[in-house]
Amino acid sequence: MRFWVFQTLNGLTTGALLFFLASGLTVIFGLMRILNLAHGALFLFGGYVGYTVAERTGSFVLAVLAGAFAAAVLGVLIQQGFSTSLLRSPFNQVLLTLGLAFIISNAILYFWGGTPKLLRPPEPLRGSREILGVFYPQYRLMLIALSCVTAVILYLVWERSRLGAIVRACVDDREMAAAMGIRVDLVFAAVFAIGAALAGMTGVLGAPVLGLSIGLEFDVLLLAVVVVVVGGIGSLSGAFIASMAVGLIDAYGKARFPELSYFTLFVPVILILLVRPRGLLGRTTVG
Amino acid sequence: MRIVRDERILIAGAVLLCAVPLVFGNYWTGLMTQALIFGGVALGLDILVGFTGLPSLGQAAFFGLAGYGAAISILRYDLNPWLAAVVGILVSVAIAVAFAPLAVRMRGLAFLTIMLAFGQVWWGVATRGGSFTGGENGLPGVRRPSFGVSWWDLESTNGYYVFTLLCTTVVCFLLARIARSPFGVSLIGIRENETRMTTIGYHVAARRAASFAIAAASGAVFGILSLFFNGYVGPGSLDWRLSAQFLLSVVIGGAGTLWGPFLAGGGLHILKTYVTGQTQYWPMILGGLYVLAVVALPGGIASIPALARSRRKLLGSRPKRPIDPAISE
Repeated sequence: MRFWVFQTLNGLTTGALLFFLASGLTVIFGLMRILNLAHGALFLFGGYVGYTVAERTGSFVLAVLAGAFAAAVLGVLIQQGFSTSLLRSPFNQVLLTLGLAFIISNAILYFWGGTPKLLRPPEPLRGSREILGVFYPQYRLMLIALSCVTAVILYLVWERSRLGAIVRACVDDREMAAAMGIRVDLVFAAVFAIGAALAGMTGVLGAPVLGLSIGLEFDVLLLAVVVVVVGGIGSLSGAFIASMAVGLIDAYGKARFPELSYFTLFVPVILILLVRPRGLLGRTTVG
Repeated sequence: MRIVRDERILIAGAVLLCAVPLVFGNYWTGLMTQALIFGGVALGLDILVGFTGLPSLGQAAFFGLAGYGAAISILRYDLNPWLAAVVGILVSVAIAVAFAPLAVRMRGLAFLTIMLAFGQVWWGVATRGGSFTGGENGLPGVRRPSFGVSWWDLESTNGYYVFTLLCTTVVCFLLARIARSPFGVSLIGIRENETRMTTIGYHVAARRAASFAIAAASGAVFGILSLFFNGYVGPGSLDWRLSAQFLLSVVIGGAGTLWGPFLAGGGLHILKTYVTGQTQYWPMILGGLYVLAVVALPGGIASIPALARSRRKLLGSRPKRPIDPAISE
């Protein structure tokens, strides 16, 4: 019993971080048809900026805000720097965004050096707390709670607000949305900024759990891409379900069958895609 | 579409490359051996990516599986290296043939992702396989096969280079033939208009699967060549970054042209080896190169001759449109 509680909490922590990352990725993908492989690099960049801010000011909240802001600025620069016509083919997307990912992570190596960094959780959340018979770090519990709150907020904005309606309209039919007088280019920039900010925020929030090191950006990117495709492109609810599922499968698999940890994670992914090529809750085809 | 139309060009190129050991030293001959291997994988992948229009981010799986299959046969079951090479290729192709009917149901980025997951499964098996697969350390100590003749020693750098060149030439020749055959042309048809091909009466899924298997088989052949060159196979040969390198070679070279991806695959390896030796910031240069390739040369290396011609003639033929299977119609 203890084992299952503990591993479930571990899985939910991973799932929470994955959701923050994948929510931005999936909306950008759904809206602009861009698979942004530089998303992981934005995550790492935000994390390192947050680390420096936390070192200088000692404030974790400030660090999260700074990481999100820095990643958003970089994200908008990337989005504006390249005309979308270049990105219409998936080949060029992969080439361009992976190239940018290499450049950004190498720049991080240049500015921050190669030693892995660890950020301590904020003071009030450092201890552990008993839950269902196991002691679990408070900070991780906070992450799980925060991801649920974020999911609800994003869902409400997405489904119930005017802004959400505009973005959804652009996802479903870009030309028609433009014809209705929606400034599609502004929506694109705003969504890209929000997605990048979420990635940067995740970098800082994840730093006390995952640490910060070069190479991490591709590990998390791989999982985030899987979450996006399994959840269904452009679907926030799908991303939430898939994040938690991937987090849990990963945690159980690693604990029960450590020698098969990638097998247990990716075989279900392949099976889900074969049964539902559009992902769990996807409305448009990926291909 | 520019395919290597004339086998004479291919043979002339091979003969010219035979001179490499005479002109350069051991270092460059070894590097050229690897360049041939990486170029060959990219060329094989082009059948799937450029012709059939399925972007795969899992080609390293077939490259690595063949290497592991042969290495395990030699080290664990004491098989003759030639026989082990055949076993390795068969293992890789068998897995490809089993997975192909499932994978080709996907298109575009879903295909890309499912191949990524497929590659990660094998990477995971190799790294977690304990002493059987050597885990993170891989399997060192694989000896090269031998012809049993004194004048062609595969243990020597030059002898192995000529062997690799021979294998590469044969594979390139076969792939160019396949590309020009009615089968190859039907793949282009599937890429351009799947519905029409189905209506005409082609079994689209079977042809997709066949092109998948062909790309996998050529990847497997070069996986074996790489295994014997290094005397080692490790999880690095199953890494998705290697798959990305193969896919990007195809794109940078010019998808659907065969010779472009071959040049890009070999060239990227030489460049990477050279720059890695100079600075630890080589990903920056590689990344910059990728970005530059998209912005400055969207048609890939293969579009350079057409670009040069049209510039010379001013009114000459425009460069061929690169192959872009758009994500959404």
